[in-house]
Amino acid sequence: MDIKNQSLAEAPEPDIAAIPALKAMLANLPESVRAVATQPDLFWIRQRSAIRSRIAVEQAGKQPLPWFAMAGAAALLLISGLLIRSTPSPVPQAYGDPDQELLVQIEKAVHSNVPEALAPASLLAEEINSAQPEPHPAIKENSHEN
Amino acid sequence: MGTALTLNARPDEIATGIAEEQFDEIVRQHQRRVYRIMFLLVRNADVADVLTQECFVRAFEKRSSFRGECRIDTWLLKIAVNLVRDHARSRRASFWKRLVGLADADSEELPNAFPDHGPSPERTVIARRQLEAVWALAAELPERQKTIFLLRFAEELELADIAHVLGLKVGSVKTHLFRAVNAVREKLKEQQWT
Repeated sequence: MDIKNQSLAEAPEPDIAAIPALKAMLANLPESVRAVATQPDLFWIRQRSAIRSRIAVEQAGKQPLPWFAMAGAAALLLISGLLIRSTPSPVPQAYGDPDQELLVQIEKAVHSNVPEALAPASLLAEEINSAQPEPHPAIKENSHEN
Repeated sequence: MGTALTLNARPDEIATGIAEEQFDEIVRQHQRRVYRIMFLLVRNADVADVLTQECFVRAFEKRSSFRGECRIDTWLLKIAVNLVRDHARSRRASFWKRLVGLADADSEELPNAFPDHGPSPERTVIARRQLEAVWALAAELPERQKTIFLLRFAEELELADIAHVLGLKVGSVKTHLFRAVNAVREKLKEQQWT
């Protein structure tokens, strides 16, 4: 301790008795503080309970996880990592352009000989025609002879 | 592990560390005084309650580091005074935030300087008036002077204990106390003339 601090430490305390107004003001101050800060027993019980709860919560937050929980979490991470690596990346699905599809339909309709509504009937007629055999020329000639 | 729990235990009688099972008894013995000092310094019953809880939670966390260099109550008061200082800093910060419109004005603390329930109506009214007058006198003191002034005259702490709680030398505590008393005396004179 240096000289200055030593002299300060040895110096007397401020004497409030020499200041009557202050002395009067500070008289019984400790009792006044106690009176104002007094609380019912229930307040202290509740406060102790709150302290216990807060300590319990903080302790629970600091508890290390048991070994099996940590091992399980590690295994889960490993498996999910393997799954992510082995899964093939999805092929991007091609979506048809509705405008393009409409253009193709129009083009088909333009090149077709029949209206679109009669297209099934024309297809049927073509099939019937192709299935029927053409008449033999010799038979035709014989019928003329008769 | 033996730990002296009484206020009168000498430091050399106190073993190091505090056992977990003893902590509840420590809270029971010291909660009133810690709360009273909190209330004296923050002037708000609700804040004093919250800070008292925080003080004991921190004490529990640090209980293994308690080496018995001082009494348990002095050790608790050191934690308490640090909490009050942190609270004052955060209040100042929130005041400036409110001032520039960064914080919601509704979140301002409601004035609850005194608890609704007390010992007896008349004594409490007189005590409140006296305490309010002292608070008003000490309000303009610098934070450290105010703390020393209140700890000395309202809580009757010894200068050596105040020095330990605040981490100061006894000489510095006396200097702060002299300045505080002089400032308060000047203010009293002003009040008498006006």
